[in-house]
Amino acid sequence: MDDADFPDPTDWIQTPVPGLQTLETSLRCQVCKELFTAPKVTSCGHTFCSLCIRRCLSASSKCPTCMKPDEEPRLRDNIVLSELVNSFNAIRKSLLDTLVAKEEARKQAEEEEAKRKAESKPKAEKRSSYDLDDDEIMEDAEPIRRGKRRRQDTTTSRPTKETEPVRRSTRTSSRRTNSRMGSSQTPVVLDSEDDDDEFQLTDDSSEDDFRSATRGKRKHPPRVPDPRTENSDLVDCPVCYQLKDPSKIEAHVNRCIEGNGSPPPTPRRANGASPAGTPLKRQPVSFSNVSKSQHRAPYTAEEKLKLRLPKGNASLAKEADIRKKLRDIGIRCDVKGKDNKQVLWTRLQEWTNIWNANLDSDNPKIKQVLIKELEAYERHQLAQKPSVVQDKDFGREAWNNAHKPGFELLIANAKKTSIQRKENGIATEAKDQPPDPATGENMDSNGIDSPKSVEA
Amino acid sequence: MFAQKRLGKIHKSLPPGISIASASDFSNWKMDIQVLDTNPLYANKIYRLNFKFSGSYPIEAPEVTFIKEDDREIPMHPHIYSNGVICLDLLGTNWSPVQNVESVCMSIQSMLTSNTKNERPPGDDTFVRSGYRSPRNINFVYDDNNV
Repeated sequence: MDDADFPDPTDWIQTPVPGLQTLETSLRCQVCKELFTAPKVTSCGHTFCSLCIRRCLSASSKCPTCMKPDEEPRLRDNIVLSELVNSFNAIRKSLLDTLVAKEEARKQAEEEEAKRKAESKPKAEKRSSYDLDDDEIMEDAEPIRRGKRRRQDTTTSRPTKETEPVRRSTRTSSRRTNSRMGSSQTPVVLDSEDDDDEFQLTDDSSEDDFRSATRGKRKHPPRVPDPRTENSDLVDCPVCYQLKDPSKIEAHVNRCIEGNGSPPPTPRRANGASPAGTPLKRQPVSFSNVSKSQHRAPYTAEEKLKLRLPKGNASLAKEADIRKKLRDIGIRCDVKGKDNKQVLWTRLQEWTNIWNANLDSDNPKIKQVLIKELEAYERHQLAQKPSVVQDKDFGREAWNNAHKPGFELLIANAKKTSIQRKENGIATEAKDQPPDPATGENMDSNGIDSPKSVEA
Repeated sequence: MFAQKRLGKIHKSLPPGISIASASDFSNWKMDIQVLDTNPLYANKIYRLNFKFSGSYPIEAPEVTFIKEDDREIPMHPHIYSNGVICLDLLGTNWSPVQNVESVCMSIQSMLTSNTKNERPPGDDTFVRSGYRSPRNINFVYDDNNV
């Protein structure tokens, strides 16, 4: 089915609960229009996928929605949203299928009823039975909605007991869902509410199941705590990337610039791996205890894999450094001839975006996969870039056509003068004056000629 | 990369007056737009927009121009040149990645709706004669906030 390939909020319009469209729209990133992957909140409160917002901010340091200035280090995780998206995604298909089936059944019943009405009035008894059937179906469509709402209720006020009729219809609906869908998450929860005795208990356990299911999705090893989130008051030193108290930052920056960069309290570089003079590497900060003179051990290889990369500064970075950095990561440079600094820098930025976003993700991928992604992204950018050559060709052609008579006149003139010059012989050439306009015209005719030859 | 998603999103539920004329590939779309109120300048006319997407869409704005075809002309508007180039800040400096084809069409629609002047931008002749290259290479000065 088409819809299955392109899940879209508009899928819900055809269901009995069109309001789900807005719900799903809110669960989608405004940039890539997909369900959020590792959602991040900007300082102005808008949320985007980690990779999307990182790319946007690298392009222009503004929030895509409200255009307020923002920068990457100020992004924060939106944990509850990420859980919401995960659980919504898990139930989406079954919910949609159920609702669509309901709607179809309702329409069918309506049609049949209309047919019957048109057929005859004498069969009043039979009709009433159909009416009843229809009612039941109508009622059926409702409970799903109730069921959903109720599921939400159970998380907030657990011990709410339902009245008999509602529960009954829920059971039918959940049974139907089950028979139609096989097992899925929604019906499980609904089912658990079937028996009064078990209600409390099963509900709790299924709640836990549900939660652990969502947890299970984010089963990546415990994240290295980001010192930024832990000490949100601290600010980056623009020179050495250490986190500093805002009140002391000025003095610190001054010291940094003067050259005796490392202030006594924090060890400047506990990590031997980062060579001196690379401004791109953020100075490692000890996680547990940011301040004080505690020396931390160098990062292990495993820890290094979980460090966010700093963005760096294009004008400070040297081409050789960028090249070395890329090579160290394992990214190829100079595949098609020599890449210039701009290309290399863009590549490193994109790598930083992909790498950092991957760390935010629930299911981090390994480096090799990320490198493949980076290459694919670059290929895609090149492929779809309205290539410069094409654009120029197009412009040239239009230009050529529009000015053909003028060009032809100039060419004819140029030929005439060159013939004249030949006829005039060496005498005129010896004088320095005439050749000047002549060569000028020659150049002109060359300039005009070249596009023509392209055209031909 | 974004392209497939892009195509899927727009197929259903377009706002009134906007329809897809062709979207055969992911780098070039044609959209038909129509002004729905009774603005005498544009009543009962359909215009065709050409969208050109670069690889970095939606980070980078698409190139949007009106195109002339047998039954489609370039609308009269003080910000639309007779070769179809549109001067709209949304498509240049004020582009934001949250925009999409639909929202761009709607902006242009409302730009037409609110217009009352039956004229071309000043310097239209010279602009058009200077050779159409690509809106990307043009630096517009967005000076008019009224239209």
